[in-house]
Amino acid sequence: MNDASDNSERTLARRFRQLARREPGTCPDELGLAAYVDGLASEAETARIEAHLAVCRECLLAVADARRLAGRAHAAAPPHVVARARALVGGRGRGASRVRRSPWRAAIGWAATAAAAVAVGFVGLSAGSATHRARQAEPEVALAELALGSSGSPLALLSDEDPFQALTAAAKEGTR
Amino acid sequence: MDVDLQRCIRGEKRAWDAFVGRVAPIVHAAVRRTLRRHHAAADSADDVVQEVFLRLIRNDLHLLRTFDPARASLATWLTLVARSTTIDHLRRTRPPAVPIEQAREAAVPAPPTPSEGATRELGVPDDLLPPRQRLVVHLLFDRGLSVDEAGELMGVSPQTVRSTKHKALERLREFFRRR
Repeated sequence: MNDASDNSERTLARRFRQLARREPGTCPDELGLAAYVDGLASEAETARIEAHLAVCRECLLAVADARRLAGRAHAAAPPHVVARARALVGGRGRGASRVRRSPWRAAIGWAATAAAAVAVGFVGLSAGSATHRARQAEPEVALAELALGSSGSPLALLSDEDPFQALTAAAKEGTR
Repeated sequence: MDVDLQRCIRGEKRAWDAFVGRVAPIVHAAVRRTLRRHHAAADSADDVVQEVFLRLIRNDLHLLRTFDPARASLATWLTLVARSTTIDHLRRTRPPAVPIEQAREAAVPAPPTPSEGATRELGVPDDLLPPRQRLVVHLLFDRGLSVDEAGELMGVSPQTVRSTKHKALERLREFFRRR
């Protein structure tokens, strides 16, 4: 394609951009965008989302990132991160569940409860002691810095630069 | 992704633990990537990951209950949930150098307002280009993506991008020729 043709196309696109209305409207929710990324959105939903993507940079980036991340193998999350998330739901036996507050809030609650318990001469109320047991259960492991982007890993293709440059890198890798 | 969401929603501890074990890698990766994108320190990743899981179970696991496996895969949905949670975290915890809304507007030049310029072309009909054609024009010409990159982002083949671009430009040529 020659330069004159390229310039003509760019001119057309620029005129359209300058004259077209850009009303992004409401961003689709995560499930709507996920359906689009997975190719499961209906025709009407796809049209709505693509119309929105043409005017909303954040949603465009979200779709680009979702395409890049979903379906790939990922390094394991740090064990303490997994343990903290697991501790959000506790229970004694099947069907029993108790959603816990975040460990730091629970610790504050534990400290306050312990202070009150001392005041009445009783130590170790159930909430505080349960939190204490949860904190003790977190494995104490040294954090290994994940070598994201190490050579040979698919993650190396993920650029820290502009996400659209990341697509360039991936496309070039695929065409070589 | 092989997880038993129904048992998670019922609050079964073992199911929840298994769920966390399976999805933590992708949640963690999505959080870290989003933090990098927004030039934020990676050391907040652990707390943000916890926020993601908290968000899933808040209000009697409301968000987790809304997930519909018929509409999307769990991995893709969680990636987007993790991403939006990270952005919400950044909005709360630091003033952006450029507000995200302004960054969004600044990324693509806004069309001239009616008061700008000595002469102003009339606008184009909203339905001049179908959504897919409009998106292809935006990706190729406003974002500078290649055909391959646009296809990857849209989940279509490069040939589809090329043919969509061709149709869009034909429409635009015809429209401007008639004016």
